[in-house]
Amino acid sequence: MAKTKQYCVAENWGKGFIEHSESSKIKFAGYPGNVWQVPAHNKDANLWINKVLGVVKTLLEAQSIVDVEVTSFQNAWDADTVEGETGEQAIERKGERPADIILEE
Amino acid sequence: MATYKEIHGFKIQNVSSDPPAPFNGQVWYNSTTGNLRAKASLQVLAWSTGNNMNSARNAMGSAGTQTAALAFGGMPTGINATEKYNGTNWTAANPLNSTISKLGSAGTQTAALGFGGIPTGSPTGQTESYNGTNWTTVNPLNTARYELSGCGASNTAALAFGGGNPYKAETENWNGSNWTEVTNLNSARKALGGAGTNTAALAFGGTSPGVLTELWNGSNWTAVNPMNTGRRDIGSAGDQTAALAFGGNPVQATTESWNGTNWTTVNSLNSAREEVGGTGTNTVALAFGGGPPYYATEEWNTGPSPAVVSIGSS
Repeated sequence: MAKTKQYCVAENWGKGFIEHSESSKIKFAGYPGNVWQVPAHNKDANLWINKVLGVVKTLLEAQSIVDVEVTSFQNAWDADTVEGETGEQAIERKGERPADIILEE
Repeated sequence: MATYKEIHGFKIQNVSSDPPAPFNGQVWYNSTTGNLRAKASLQVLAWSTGNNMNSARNAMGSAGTQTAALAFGGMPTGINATEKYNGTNWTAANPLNSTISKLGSAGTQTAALGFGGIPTGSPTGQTESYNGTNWTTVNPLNTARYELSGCGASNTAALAFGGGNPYKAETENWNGSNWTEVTNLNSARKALGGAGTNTAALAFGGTSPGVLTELWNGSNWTAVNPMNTGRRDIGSAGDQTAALAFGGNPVQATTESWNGTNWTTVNSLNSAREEVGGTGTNTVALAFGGGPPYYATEEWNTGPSPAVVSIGSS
């Protein structure tokens, strides 16, 4: 089956990175590690990747980048401890542990 | 049903080229291209990126509008920083007196209020008032809590509701000097969204069950139509009759718009996140930060001015 999504890495520089005219035409999904998912076989998506100088990644490559970033969030969460704090208190203070992210094909 | 001629005074014209200055709503047939053409106002609402925050954070307080916003406190642990957004850039401003996250907030960029939340340790009722330059510690909430929601027009008129732990239904009204307990929410919850003023507020989502919406009329909460997607840690903007809910936990990009009666799912954020800051209205809003701590800002707007479009195949 032909893939319906494609991935690239591009740094979000702020205003103009994703414009209204682009997000109203195609669906973006940003992930940790500057990974962006846009529709595959789509002229507007390809134009946007060119505009932001995105480096196209396979699903596995993109997943690997996201995994590294999420692991870093999880490690930071694990390392943030207060002596005597219960598990529930820890979640109260710092929120739930960042969850793994599984990219879609 | 009225015809095109009855509305505009003439029939749809058959022309060889597009008219030089069509009015919005005008329709014509271009015989050269074989298109039925129209000038239409495409009021598509969508998120676009704005310039990033200086300090990545989530679970912060937020106030103001899309072009004059305020972000304060938040996580990761130990943030008391304040930033101002002018529609283009975020600039650091004087910090809160205390590091705090998961707080309630209300007001504008020049008259904001932050209340409740969790510093290192137990939930607090601490309240700070911002005058556009400095934060001042004022009288605390009667019920200490975190992951509460809040709304209000300024630092002299605000409403605090919900929170944890355990789930709280308590609602308190701020008159500029003191918090007064008023009628509870019908459903106790935390990590809920909020919009409006202290006399006309909206509470939505939260833990648990995540879709409930309630209206505050200044005296009582009334359950109304629920959200389409259950969630907590929601970003919010708007007022009681026109609100916007975006992002949340489970981590998502889903955006819903409230028209005073129903929630409708609209275009999603470009980046999924929870505990995202939010200000503005349901047609001109700002989303910033969110967890795990991100810098990203997104702006919610209608599209460009009316455009000429072809109807049917070319």
